[in-house]
Amino acid sequence: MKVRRGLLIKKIYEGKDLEMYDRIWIMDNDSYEAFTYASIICMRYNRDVGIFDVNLSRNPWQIASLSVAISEICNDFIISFRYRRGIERKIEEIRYYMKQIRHVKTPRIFAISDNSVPKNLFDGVITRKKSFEDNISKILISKDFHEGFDEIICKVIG
Amino acid sequence: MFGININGDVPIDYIKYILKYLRAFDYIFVGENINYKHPFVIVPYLLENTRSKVSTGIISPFLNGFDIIERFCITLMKFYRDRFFLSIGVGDFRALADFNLKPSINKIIQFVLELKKKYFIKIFSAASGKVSIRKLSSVSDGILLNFSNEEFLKWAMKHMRKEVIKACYAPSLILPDNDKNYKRLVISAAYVFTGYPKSFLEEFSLKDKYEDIKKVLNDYSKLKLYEKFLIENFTISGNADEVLDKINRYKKIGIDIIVFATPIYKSLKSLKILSELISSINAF
Repeated sequence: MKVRRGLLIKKIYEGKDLEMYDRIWIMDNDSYEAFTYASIICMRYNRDVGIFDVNLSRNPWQIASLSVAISEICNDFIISFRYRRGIERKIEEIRYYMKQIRHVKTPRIFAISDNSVPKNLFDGVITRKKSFEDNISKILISKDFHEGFDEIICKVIG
Repeated sequence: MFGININGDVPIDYIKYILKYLRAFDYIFVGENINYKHPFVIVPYLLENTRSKVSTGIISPFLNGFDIIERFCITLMKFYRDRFFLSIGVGDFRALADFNLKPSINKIIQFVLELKKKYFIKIFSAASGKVSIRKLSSVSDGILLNFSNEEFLKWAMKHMRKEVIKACYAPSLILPDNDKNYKRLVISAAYVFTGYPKSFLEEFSLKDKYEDIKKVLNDYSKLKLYEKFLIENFTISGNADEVLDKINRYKKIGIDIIVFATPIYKSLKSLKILSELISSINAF
């Protein structure tokens, strides 16, 4: 099976090589509005998109409202959160607000972690650990291909 | 010129379907509600798929964060330049109360001034009280007035400090339409009316009616008792000829942009008639 290739972007970038990747990850930082930028990338390049490391200072209703909207534009949309203590409540709140919004699709929610994460809370994990073995969808941050991962984030821009 | 306000309470596929009608409008506004899909995604969707100018339909920096709104503007200006503009307001006081947020007009004014200083961006502000109209018109490029009655509009325009783009917006529908859409029209008008500030209610001696309608806001059978008052004063509705007549009267009193707001985008029948009406007006 072909392993999907991902590109992580940390600044506004419009290079033609975007089309070479199956998914474009947008880092949630201060240079742009990540969800808006992700929706433009998704529409212009017809790629799957994801938000990398969603900023937890955002209001949970806003994360839900933005995510549900992109999910209906994008074939497969993922939001990801750095896994840390106390995040469970935030994820539950986001899922609560998603249910309040009339939707056709919701995003997949991944944790960014090199250790095990609760499977009832997350749909998958993004990790740098090549030996990560949990039975959950796995995305690896690495320049090289490794068996057992669904996607590899193989390049970073910015 | 003509505008339409849509909200993210419909599937994106529905918005895709009505694009052919939305393209008739010079301006498209995307409204915000914590239970709707977010305008930060729907605005670029419309910019990508129409040639209209597109804006948020009054976004609250208190609900979203001032810094996040600024980043949203930077991102859209980079890709769509002046086809994007920002419409800003305090926000729905019911939602603000839910999050225990205390809004202030002065903070909005400061934010508008900061954005205008940093970027070449058009900003519309929503206002319906005389103080907010006076203050916001002195810093914004345009004012969004949530009125449809000409007397109310004339009163609002009297309080503007400088010459700005004047847009009026109100719940709209081409009548007759089905019961579901008509009910939406009456309820939307009631929500608009019960969201007005004291200064407006006092000026037009509407305080008693405000109290009465506020009590029955969630009971349509009782709200129906006020439907004539609500439809006549707080909507842009009627058959095509009546709506055309209203459009001409708005133009006469100096309104620059007429914005047709919810529930019209949910009615394919009304939307089709209105988009044809606008196309024929624009053709002459």
